[in-house]
Amino acid sequence: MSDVASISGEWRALSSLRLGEGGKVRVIDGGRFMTQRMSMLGIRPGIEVRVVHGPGKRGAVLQVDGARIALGRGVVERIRVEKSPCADVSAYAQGGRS
Amino acid sequence: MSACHESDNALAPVSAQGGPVIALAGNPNCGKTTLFNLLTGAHQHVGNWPGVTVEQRRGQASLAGGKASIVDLPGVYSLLGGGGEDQSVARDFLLEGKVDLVVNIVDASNLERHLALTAELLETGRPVLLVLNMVDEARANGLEPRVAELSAALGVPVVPMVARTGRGKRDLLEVLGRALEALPKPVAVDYPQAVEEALRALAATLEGSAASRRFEGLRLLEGAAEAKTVIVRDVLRAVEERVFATTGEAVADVLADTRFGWAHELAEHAIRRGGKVGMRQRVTAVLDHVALHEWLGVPVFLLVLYLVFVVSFSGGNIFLDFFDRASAALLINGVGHVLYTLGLPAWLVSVVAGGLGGGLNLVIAFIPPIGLTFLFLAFLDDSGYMARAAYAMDRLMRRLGLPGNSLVPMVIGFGCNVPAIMGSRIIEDPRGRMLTVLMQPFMSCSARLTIYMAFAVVFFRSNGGQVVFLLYVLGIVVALLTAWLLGKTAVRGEALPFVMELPPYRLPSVRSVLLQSWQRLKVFMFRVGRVIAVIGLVLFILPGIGWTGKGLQTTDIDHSLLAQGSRALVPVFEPMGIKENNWPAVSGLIAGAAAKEIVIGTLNGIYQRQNAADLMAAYRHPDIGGQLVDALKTIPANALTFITTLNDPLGLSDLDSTQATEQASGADSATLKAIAAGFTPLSALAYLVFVLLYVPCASTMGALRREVGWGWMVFSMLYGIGLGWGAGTVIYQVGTFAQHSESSAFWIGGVSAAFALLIVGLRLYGNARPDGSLLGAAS
Repeated sequence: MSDVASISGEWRALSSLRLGEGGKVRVIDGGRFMTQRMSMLGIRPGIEVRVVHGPGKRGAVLQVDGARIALGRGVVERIRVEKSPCADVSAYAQGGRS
Repeated sequence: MSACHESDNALAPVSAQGGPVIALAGNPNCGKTTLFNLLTGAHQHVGNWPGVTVEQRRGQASLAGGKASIVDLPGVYSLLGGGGEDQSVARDFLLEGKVDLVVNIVDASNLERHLALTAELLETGRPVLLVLNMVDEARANGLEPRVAELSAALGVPVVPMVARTGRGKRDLLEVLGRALEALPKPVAVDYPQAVEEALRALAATLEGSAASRRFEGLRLLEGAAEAKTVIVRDVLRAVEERVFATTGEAVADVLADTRFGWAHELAEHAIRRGGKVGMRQRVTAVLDHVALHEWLGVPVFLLVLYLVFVVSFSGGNIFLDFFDRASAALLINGVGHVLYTLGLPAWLVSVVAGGLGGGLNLVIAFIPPIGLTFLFLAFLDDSGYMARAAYAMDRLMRRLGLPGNSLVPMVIGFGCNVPAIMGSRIIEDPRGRMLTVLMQPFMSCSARLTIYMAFAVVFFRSNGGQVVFLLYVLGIVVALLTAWLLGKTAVRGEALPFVMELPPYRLPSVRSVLLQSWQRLKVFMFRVGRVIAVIGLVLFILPGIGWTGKGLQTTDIDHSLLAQGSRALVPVFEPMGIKENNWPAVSGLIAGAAAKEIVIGTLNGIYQRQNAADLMAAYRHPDIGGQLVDALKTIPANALTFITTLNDPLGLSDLDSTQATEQASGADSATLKAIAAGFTPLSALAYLVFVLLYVPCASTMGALRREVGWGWMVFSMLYGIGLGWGAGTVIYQVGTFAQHSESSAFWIGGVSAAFALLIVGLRLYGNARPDGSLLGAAS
């Protein structure tokens, strides 16, 4: 991961974020079924999410508003986000939108 | 983790006597069932994970204006679709069912997402009332709800509550009463001009009231409903094009965006974000770090299960002898003595005291370990760990072709297989659901636990916890391998990627854990008590008659029909170590196919009859006081054993069980003594493995048939019996290989060959049916 990419805020796979980093969901790949499955849980374009566990081999746990959503690896790779500029790793314990 | 399938049937039937119908609707794990229990006084199973409730349930609540029928529904994220079978149940009811008022429960700390469902509910045109639940947790997260603002914006009453503690109940009852008299008129979502025009155009082609036409129009635009006539279809296509032309977006997307935007704005408006984020979030982060750890996650889960079962057994052991001896003194000797002094005939005394009293004695003896198991499972249930365990095990499960959330029904299965099979509905894809359903019969339920306990007390007294734990693990392993095998052969495909909401961690309240485990224990005891009473009577008649040279006649038990029938089957079980004189063990297995609770009851009934003469002496001159004192003395003695064996958690020192027979002779009750005489530790183990794997009970088979159809039910039954017999035989033959290596080799080889044949058969079946067709037939 180059520094340029993280500064410019281009869209990237959720799996490339690090623990504690957050981003705005931009695209969810995988068709209507997948989009609906995600929006059910509050994950949809425009929403701010934060990685509170992982990402790892299992996938990642996201903080989405007041909820924690566990996503398997296969899902995490299909969500592309725009990384939030100020990622504070120590803040991963904090909930809510930033 | 309902302890019992019958608890579901004990529900009030669908109310026949009119009265308004109030449906509880909301996202999974928002507290619908907690509220249901609060309103109706029911004791439905609640847990802190999404998907506890998978079917609709009804109860009665007394409101100011009279009785109302309350319908508890599974959680649902959206009326549009998605989720497992459980969510369809809720969706169908909310869309089609007869409902007078919908109580929409929303989680105050996660308002925005929950309001997205509210938006959909408001659009159905049904009167809605909002319960803002878990306001305590929201406040702990620094969120202060503004109830009046929310109520004004929605146009419906909003009741803040903490359903778990009952806070807000009085307000809710009052508001419910008022709402039923004057139904609230909700303010629904406003859509952009283009969409509203499209809705009007569509409504003109539909029939019904204005509200229902608008709602049907919305469903059509979202693709959630099909156009029924050609005119509607043409208008639909035209308006879709028009909306796309003006907004540049598909109409379904416009609708979703508007609704989510509405929920977002409303949530911002109705929640004041102040205060600091409390300790909770930090504690959650730390706990999740361990529970979901890359490589610690799986061991942590296994450790949790190990602790549950080993501590339940070892801790329960401290009181087991007390419960056993005290209840024997009172129920067998005491009752026997009273009946004897009343001058009742000897046969009646032995039926009541030995059959009924003895059966109850056996059950009561196992209350401590079973009660502790229920206690631990209730604690797990409430803690919020279950969903984490599912995520932690996901990768492992996926390798076996299963979704991680199939772990949840498996843990429920430790209580009872029936709710576990029902609980499989939370799994989204039909293939994963079917595999999960077929796994459940191998999970050791609480009824099987009594059998394990009875044998463990006799043969594996000091390392019983470990033996019981091993049986549980064996059940899990067989279940997983079964799913893997079927997934590779007959039902090929891949599991959907894992998606699950992780509930907040909660320190379970002592009251709720005690209440929940007491409920289960009560149901368990009642069921067992009933079964034993019935079986006591049957066993009084059956063993008394037999086929002799002169036709059907009354005989002694060893020549009875029961004995003759069971003896005829003994050769089948001989390879797993059951000898001819131990025919009651076979009777137990036959009865156990109906319900596992009967096994011990049957053994008890038969053994008691065989030893009736000895017992009569005890009824004549009982020493109840002395026995009670002896019973009390066992508590400190066993507590000491518990503490001294703490340094040997694996029970390794006892694996070499040369003292097993000594331990066995120490067993007290006549039934346990008879078990000790009929089995060796090895044949007992083989017997227990068979008990674990063969048909769980008639109710489980019924649930299987409902969920996956006749074909798979029959498969499951035969597969279970075959596997149980094969495993029992292999265990016994390997253990006794030195004594008769030739026949042992024959049996082991035979079992292996049969298993290989099964795999080939399943593969051929899978080849013949490309994945889809089979699932269609099943569902």
